[in-house]
Amino acid sequence: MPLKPGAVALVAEDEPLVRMEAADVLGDAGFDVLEASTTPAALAFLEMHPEITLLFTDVVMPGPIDGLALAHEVRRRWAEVKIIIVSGRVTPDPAQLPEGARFLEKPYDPNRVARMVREMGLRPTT
Amino acid sequence: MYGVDAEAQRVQQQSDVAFLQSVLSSSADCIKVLDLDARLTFMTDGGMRVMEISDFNDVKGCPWPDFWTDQGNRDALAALDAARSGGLGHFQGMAHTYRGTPKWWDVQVTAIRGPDGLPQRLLAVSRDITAQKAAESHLAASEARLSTVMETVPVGILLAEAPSGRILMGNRRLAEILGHSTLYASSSNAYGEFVAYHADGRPVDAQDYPLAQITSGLCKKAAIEVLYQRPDGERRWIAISGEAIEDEQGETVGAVVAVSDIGDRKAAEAQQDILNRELSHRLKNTLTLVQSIASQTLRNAPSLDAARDALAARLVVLGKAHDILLAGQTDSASVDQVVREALSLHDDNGRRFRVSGPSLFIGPSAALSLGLMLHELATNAVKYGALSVPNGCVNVGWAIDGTGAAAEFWLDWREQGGPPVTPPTRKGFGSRLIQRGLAGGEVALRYAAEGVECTFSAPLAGLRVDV
Repeated sequence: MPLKPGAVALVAEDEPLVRMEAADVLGDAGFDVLEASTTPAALAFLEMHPEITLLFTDVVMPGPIDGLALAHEVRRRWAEVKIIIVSGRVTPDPAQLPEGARFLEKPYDPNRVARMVREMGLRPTT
Repeated sequence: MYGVDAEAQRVQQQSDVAFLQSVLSSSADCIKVLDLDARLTFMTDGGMRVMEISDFNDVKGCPWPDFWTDQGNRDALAALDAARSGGLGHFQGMAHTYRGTPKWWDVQVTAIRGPDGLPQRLLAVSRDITAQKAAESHLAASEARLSTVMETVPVGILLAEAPSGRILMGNRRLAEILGHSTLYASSSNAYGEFVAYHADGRPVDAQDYPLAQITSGLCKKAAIEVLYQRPDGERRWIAISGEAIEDEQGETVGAVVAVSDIGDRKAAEAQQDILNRELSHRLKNTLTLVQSIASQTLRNAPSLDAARDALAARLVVLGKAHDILLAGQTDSASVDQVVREALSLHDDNGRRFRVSGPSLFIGPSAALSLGLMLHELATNAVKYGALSVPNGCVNVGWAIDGTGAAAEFWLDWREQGGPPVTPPTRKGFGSRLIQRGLAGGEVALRYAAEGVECTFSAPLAGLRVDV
């Protein structure tokens, strides 16, 4: 399935319902959305889909690394990918976040997500 | 001239004797003269008063040691011996007056020497010290009471004088708490020898202690909680609470502090903090779920009425899954319970579901997801599948394949006895949720002619991760 460059977001979230909602929120914001329920699955998507421009990840995730470590890994390997980190459990110190990454506390306002995406200079197809 | 001089000398002598007698009789001491055998030969008027003797003849010639009994008698004999050999006999003892009033006496016995320089008679001077003795014993009793209180109260106590801050005393409980005997610091500047830390890890300065604050006149009351470094290496949370001791003018003359071990309280507070944080996280997670359920329900509902009913039912399932989690001793839920609770809403005759699987516990996040997915499967079955006809039923079974890190959980949903099913044309909330499956797992949804079949599988390890 060919994805349009510049318009693909990857949601990493283990809770299916919450992931579904995040996918819809990003879909409403104009993204094509890929969903991963674990951090290894998220990395696999990034390797397969270089067109991914946004990682939207939860912090507490099953798997060998958590969402924060995933974000750092993505920053290291795919420097151009924008990152939004969400959590209801931990509020990371800004210094703990990868450079340029934004943090959102759960539950979040869908409009806030759309605004943040625009602020980060992403131009999804709408 | 000689006669005149002698007369003058005689008058002078008479005058001197009268003077001496008036001195003696005005003394409050009991002054007695004894012969060398210790018999009474003379007693001053003042002495007769304190000894309650009205006529000296009643006691004249009596042996003086007979006024004393027991130890007093032995002390009196020893004092007499000392005086006879030219020394000073001195003792304190209790003796009754002539009328039987018990009194304490401080007694000095000395020799009165003759012209040859040898002891000729003995002088015994007894001072009534009853009042002083009473005050002393009152003080001793008061000190004994204070000491008993100090040693039995369950808090550590430390006493210091002001303004120096010199430590005067500390009790046994204090030593138990601090792990060392009382540190008799000479001034508040020396309180630096106590090693303690504030909650933020800063060392406690000598002048931070309540004893220093109060004895230096900064305040009348002070309190602090510190982590105390005991010599045995243990660190203990202690509360120090002090008050000024004031004189009649209200000047601070000292300070007393109570020191208590608050380790248990601190541990309970820390535990409470953890619980509160955990509760807050749970609540946020639940709110996120509710937000998602509400938003997804509204997105996918054909009408507002349908949305209201669907939302209510989904929140009930969420509530039941929470009940199971809260009832558990550990932070996990039994799959059996999650399945039964999620399906109970849809079991109209008590025979709709055949549930079987091993006893298995999963984490909160997986339990909530599984409960919601089963609810959606059951909702669809009631609308279009096996549960839409009187004799339809559903088999729900689960198991674990493999062991250790490779252990895989699967749960199978199999409808029977319903009408022939076809894949839905429109994907609603239920099918979208079901398709996502459990964390890190897969879903196989089949619209077989004999009924819907759905299999969830996921690594067991992922299902036990906390939210």
